[in-house]
Amino acid sequence: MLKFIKKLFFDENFREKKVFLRSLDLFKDLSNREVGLLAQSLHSRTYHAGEILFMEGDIGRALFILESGKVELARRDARDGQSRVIFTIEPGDFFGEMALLEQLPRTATATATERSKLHLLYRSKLDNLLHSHPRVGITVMTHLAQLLSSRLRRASAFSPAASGAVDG
Amino acid sequence: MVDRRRFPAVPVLLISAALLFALYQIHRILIPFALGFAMAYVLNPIVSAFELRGLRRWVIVLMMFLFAAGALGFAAGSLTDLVTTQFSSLQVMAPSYLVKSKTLIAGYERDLIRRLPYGYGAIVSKAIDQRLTGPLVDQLENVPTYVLGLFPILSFLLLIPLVTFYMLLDGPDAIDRFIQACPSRYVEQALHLISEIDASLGSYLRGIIIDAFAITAAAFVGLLVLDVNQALAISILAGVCNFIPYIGALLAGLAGGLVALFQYGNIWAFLRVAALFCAIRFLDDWVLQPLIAKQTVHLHALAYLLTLLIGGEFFGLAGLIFAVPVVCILKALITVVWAWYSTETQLRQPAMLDAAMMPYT
Repeated sequence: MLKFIKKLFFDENFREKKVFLRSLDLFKDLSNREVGLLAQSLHSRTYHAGEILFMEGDIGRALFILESGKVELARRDARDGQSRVIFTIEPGDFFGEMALLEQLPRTATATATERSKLHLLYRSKLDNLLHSHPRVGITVMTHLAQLLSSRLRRASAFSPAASGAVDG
Repeated sequence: MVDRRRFPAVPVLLISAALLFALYQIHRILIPFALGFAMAYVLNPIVSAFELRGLRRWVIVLMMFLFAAGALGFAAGSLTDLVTTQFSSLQVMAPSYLVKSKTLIAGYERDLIRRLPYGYGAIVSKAIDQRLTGPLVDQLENVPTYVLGLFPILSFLLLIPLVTFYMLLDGPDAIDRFIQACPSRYVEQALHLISEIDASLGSYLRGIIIDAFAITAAAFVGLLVLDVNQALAISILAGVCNFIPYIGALLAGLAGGLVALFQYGNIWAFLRVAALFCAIRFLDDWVLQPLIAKQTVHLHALAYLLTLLIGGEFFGLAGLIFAVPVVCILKALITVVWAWYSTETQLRQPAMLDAAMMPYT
């Protein structure tokens, strides 16, 4: 009986969405309530196989979180103009995060290769969170900075001469 | 080469023009829907706060409506007598106010004629009758009709909560459905537009509702202190009229002033009420509005006035009420289109920080 009432009154989808978000590195330090706030700021969309999420050169404005399905990132080769897949996004991954920091052209084209459910975090929603619930915004921003640093470190490790990096 | 998107300007303009024309044709029908939408917008943060605790949306909305119905029932039970007495008294007193106003004007007229040289009195008297007393009394006689003219709004009272209920029930799902319907590559632009509209429209609506409650309360207390009849009716009118920017305050002040004038039969009573409404307006403009305006749409005063004039000209009272929210939406639309255009055409380059020249350490 209690289970039935709980099922009737409490939103199981919202709970599952929070569980999913907490499993992501980006949001792992947030409390249950804070993840809830974040979940309310996300918009969901289902993409069909073959649908383009964004194209290389488009101005990025949102972070994409893949809940289910598969998305391919492809980049056009400047030498022969051919598009090559550079990475495949799996469920639980997120991409396009730089759009939360700067409105820059996307560096790759994202295409759903199968029916995929994605959550979108729009930049101004994160700004709102930063103002109204600073801890949520700061936590996300800190993780983004760490991610950026890791990528830069990785890039420097691959070509230290080109980047002029002095790895500490 | 990377495929660039071209803004489909001609189809968008044609569709927008057709939509605007259709909206103009059916704007009267849309009023309760717009008001219901506004109400849902204002109440949505409450629903979201409970939703955060894991409750289903329909449960929260249903509870809210049951609570509101209970509160209204209780308020109706306790306030019906007061409101009925005040409105009946206004109805009963209206003819006597009319007589008093005629006597008052006649008194001022006699006084004026006595001071004028012989012969001018008749001319001035005729002019006052033709240009002031006649039209004024005609208008005063029409006041009950004007007040009754507001009552069709009562028919909305059933429709507005219904619209609000369904809109609250839908909530963010409606936005997700809209995003789902968008062509995939325009999703980010759609989100940008929704965020901009949400930012300006939502806070504007919440702001004016808080403002209206504050004005109602201040006017009620002030009128009670001044011992003016129909204090509650006038203060509710002041609160409701607050939805009509600028002109609303004038209307409420005028109504309160006239009631005081007829009640006490001297111009000082009118001036006291006028001073009260001026003080409320002053406090509203200098204290409350800046607090609210921090989070609402920022329009230049002249643009604000022009908006109201255009709204009033094309749509009458509805135009005065909805002009500013519509401008909020248009402003958001322009902001988004400009941001899109300026970034896509790379008019605006991202700043390169000087520190980026330093090696990664």
